[in-house]
Amino acid sequence: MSMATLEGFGGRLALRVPCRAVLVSISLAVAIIGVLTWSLMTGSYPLDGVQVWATLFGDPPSDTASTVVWEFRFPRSLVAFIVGAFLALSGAALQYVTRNPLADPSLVGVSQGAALVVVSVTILAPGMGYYMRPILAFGGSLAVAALILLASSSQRGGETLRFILMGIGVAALISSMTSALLTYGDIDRAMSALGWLAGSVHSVGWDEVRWLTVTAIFVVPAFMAAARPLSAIRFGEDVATGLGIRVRMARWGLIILAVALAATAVAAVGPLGFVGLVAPHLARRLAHSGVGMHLVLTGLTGALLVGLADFAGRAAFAPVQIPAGLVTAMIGVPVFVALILRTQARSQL
Amino acid sequence: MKPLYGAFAAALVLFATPALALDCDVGMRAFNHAGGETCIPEQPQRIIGLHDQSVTLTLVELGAPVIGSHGRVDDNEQLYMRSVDLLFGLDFDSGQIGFAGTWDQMDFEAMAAMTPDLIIGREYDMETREKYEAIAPTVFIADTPTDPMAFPRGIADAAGVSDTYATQLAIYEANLERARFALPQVQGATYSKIQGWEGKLEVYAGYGGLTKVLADLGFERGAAGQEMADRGVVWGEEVSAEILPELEADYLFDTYTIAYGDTLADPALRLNDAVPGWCGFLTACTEGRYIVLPREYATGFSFTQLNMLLQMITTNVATSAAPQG
Repeated sequence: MSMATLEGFGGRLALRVPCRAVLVSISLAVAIIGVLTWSLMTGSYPLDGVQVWATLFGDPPSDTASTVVWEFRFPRSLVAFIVGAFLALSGAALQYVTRNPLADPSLVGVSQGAALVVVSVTILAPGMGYYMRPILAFGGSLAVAALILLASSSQRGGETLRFILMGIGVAALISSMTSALLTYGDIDRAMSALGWLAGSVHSVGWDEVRWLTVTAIFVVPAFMAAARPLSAIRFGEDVATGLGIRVRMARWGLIILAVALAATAVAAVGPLGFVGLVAPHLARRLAHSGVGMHLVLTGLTGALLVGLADFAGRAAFAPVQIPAGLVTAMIGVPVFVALILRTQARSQL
Repeated sequence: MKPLYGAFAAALVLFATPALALDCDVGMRAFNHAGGETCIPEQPQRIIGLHDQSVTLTLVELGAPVIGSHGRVDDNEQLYMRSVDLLFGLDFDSGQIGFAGTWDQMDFEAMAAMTPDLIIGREYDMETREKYEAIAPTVFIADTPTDPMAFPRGIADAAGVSDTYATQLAIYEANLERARFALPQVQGATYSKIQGWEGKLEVYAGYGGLTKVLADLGFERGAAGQEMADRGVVWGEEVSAEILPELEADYLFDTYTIAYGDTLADPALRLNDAVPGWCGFLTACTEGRYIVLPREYATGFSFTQLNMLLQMITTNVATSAAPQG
């Protein structure tokens, strides 16, 4: 980890800066801007860079161009980036807290809870209205996460392992209930639910951008502030306690923040698999750094991953579009397998 | 007391004032649909259908000006419109109808590029209504299980081709009358719509146009199908093979898919995968009243499909042994 030291105030303030991590962060931010630009210029409706630029600055070549850029492309790209960052940060926090490199938001039942509630309502009470889906998904995510957290909390220690096992068990139970509903429900309603389950940003709009931004304003700073307790917790409970961290409170606080981010993301676009798992590992391989910088890298990596997945999903096989959730899974599964193989190889050494 | 009367009269006028209809521009009219009231063109010239075999098919059949449609991707990664290709020989390559996306990934930009003046969808398409409405006036037609023709009738009304719809309906009703005359034995006869699928037995309360034609002819659902319909099941359910005897009815109907390359023997073979020796348990099968029909014609409500179903059922029933008792 190459470090530079910045000094100020006559040496009274000194900051150690991880140069490589900062450079990688800047590169990721530039890449995100590049993907955003590329996304705004690419689509079924032909618009070149000059026309997009003119549209963005209030002089669109036609009303349709304005609709395409402002109603379809821009909010879609923004939501993809924000959701990717949320899921990635959520996954990173869970991996730190559980000290399990394979943890991601599905471990705490976020995706499964959202899926069960949305599928149940779509199939059993279709009259409730599609506009309720984000709220229902959010409620379902939080309810299942709370169930897992409560069931795994104990005064007798060993919470991390119990948390992981409980998460896997409850998530499996809820997934089977969702599958049963999809199998036995009315086919048109099941198809409608399946569309949401595929995880897609193609139909999002400015409403989603607004409430994702509001969530980011409140939750992301809290996440960054949590870097210090996370740094300690990753060395184990005893070390963290020795360093003055109130481990139990910090752990549950971080899990709640992780759940809030993931639940908001899932409520906006449906379950997007593997981002929370893969992004923290990719970020770590791009540049080694402390926890705080790693969270920044993870958020940027997640944003770029989902932004690229959405762009690839709509451009690579045009005119057919593929949901971003499928593309992230296509990327995520090989990475997941590679991680397991790598872990096995290391344990055999 | 006079001021009181005056106040009462004023209140009455206030509350009795009818809700104003939507104020539409010249050449537009207010249209009531599942999504509320929308101003649409009186005579739309560029329509996009949001579902191939239910919306686009009806529009094409009634001669409405369709410029775009939802579609599907086949095993060879070719785009197609289910039933529209089979019944009218139209595909996306013909240049008349543009591809507007697949069921969960509609291509809003492609739709905008087609510059439609009307978009017609189903209730299920309302999830993304804001996107459609940003492109053109959009109406969502409700699917009413108790009145299956309400859906094509609503599409015809929105597209401004109600006259053609009425003509087609009259032709179907005349054909139906002839079929009823030819098949007096089916009045009150019971039927079960069954099928085997991936080793499972499925029973249907409804099967689109097939259910309508059978009801129009005078058939009645068997006990299992009726019990499902009473529970509000629109299509069907997977059931245990153990209830096979409960599916006993005067006639059995099953379906095969032309697009899959099915043969007429395939439906029975699929049932055999679900329940080995199934035919021996059901009198209708052992006595030759197990009738298979192509799914492409059985599910839709277009008049082409309904008339074809009438012909096929008439021929099959007329040439099979009548049920005993």
